[in-house]
Amino acid sequence: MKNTRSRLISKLSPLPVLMLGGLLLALGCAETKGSVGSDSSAPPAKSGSELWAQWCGRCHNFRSPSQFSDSEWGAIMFHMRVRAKLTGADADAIREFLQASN
Amino acid sequence: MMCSNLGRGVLSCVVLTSLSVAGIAQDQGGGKVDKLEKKVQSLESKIKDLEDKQETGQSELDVSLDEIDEQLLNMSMDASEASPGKRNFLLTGYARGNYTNAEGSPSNIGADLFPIFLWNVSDRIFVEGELELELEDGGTNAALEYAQMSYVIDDNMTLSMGRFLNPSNYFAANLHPAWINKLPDKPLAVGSGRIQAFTQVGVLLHGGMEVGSSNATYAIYASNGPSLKESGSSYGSLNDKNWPDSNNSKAIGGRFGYFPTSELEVGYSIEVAQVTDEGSSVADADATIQSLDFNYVSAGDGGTLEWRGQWVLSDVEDVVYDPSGSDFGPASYDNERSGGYVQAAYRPADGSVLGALEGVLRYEELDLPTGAPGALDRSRVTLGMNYWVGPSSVFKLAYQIDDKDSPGTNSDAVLLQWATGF
Repeated sequence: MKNTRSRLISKLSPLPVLMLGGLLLALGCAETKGSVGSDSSAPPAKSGSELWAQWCGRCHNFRSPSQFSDSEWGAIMFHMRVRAKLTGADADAIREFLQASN
Repeated sequence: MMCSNLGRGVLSCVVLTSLSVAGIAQDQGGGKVDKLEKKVQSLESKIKDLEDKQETGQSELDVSLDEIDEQLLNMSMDASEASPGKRNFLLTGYARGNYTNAEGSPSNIGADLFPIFLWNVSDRIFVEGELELELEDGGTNAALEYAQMSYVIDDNMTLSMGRFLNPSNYFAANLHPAWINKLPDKPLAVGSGRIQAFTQVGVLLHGGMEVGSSNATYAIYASNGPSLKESGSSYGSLNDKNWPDSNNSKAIGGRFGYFPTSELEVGYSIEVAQVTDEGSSVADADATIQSLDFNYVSAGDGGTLEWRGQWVLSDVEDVVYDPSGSDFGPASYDNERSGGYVQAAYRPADGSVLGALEGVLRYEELDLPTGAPGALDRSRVTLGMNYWVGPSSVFKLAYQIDDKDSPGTNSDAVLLQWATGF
């Protein structure tokens, strides 16, 4: 049995390689928000539905807006704001979208 | 004379008859008129009845409409009284049923329930908690996964206190619920055989922000922290139950996450803590636990692809355990542990025949220090296939290839799970 340092020296653990490879692959596949030299002005604010699509699929499948009532979505979005560390503006916009869509 | 009398008689008869006929005719005409008059009167009476009924019907309709309005008002008032008002409450959570068949162990079926309580007390105050109700050793084990209160300071900052999911451990904080985790079990280094705490008991400041055209998240906490096991079969490892504080010294830690694109998040976390108990025979020692994580999720017409990874390095200062030699010591070793996982998942686009299926592949490692008691380096490859019966309900089937350093015994396994979030 070897400790981490000697193991990395004597036999390269695949995990860091996989981590780095995965990160590089993700960077390569991911969309970019703006190209070099692009206009430095702030992008237009996203709608509640756009923010819902951006944030709510990061960890889990999308759940139908009709699954919960307005008051239930209020409680859920506060929970998700804490869990996902959303800004207040983004959380409010998503909540309003879900309450309007249920 | 007879003829004139006869003639006079006939004439009289004729006259009388004529007069009778005329009288009859007149009677008959008058009768018809009477009949007609009676008919008219009858019609007039019926028309009046209809008019009366119409007025009555309108009145009844008006009464009915008034009654309906009143009932609607009462129902509205009842609904308003029954609603939770601003103190929105929701009982949610998830459940799971498991089947495990691992080499060298009896196969086992288990079931667990994890209710989550959410209270939106006001616009700024939120209380939440999760219970774990697990079947264990013939009984039911009840535990508190987390219980925290949160106060919104502003758009980018929230203060929380209580027992909360460790923000430094991305899997614990975001991916551990059974209906979110893509495989039936947790990764070794950050879940079951972990070297990074699952929860913290303390105070947490956290939030999100925009950084230029990108987004970032942060979390900073002070907690009771882990404590070093100084004896027993696993001396040198950390007890991360972290309650109560054993040395009057709080652990300080935090995580910073950055989104270079909307699909990709990268994060770094660090926690520093004094881990030896107050008054211990072992010299004071600090632990530094660092973690790197990345999460990539891309959804499009071709389906949804996920790449995730997390790597943890736990470094405890070298100390001499059982310095007096009264038990197993004196003993010491380079106490550095590391491990993590990389996972890929792919699900075809919704609407396709295969849209309910999802393939998952995870590679993970746990590297333990030479000299640590009972510690064996371990790696696993897990292949999974999921069938989603709904957005939050999934059947999982996985095969796990286990590789332990000798003299450990490998334990390949078949894992089945049905998990539902509600």
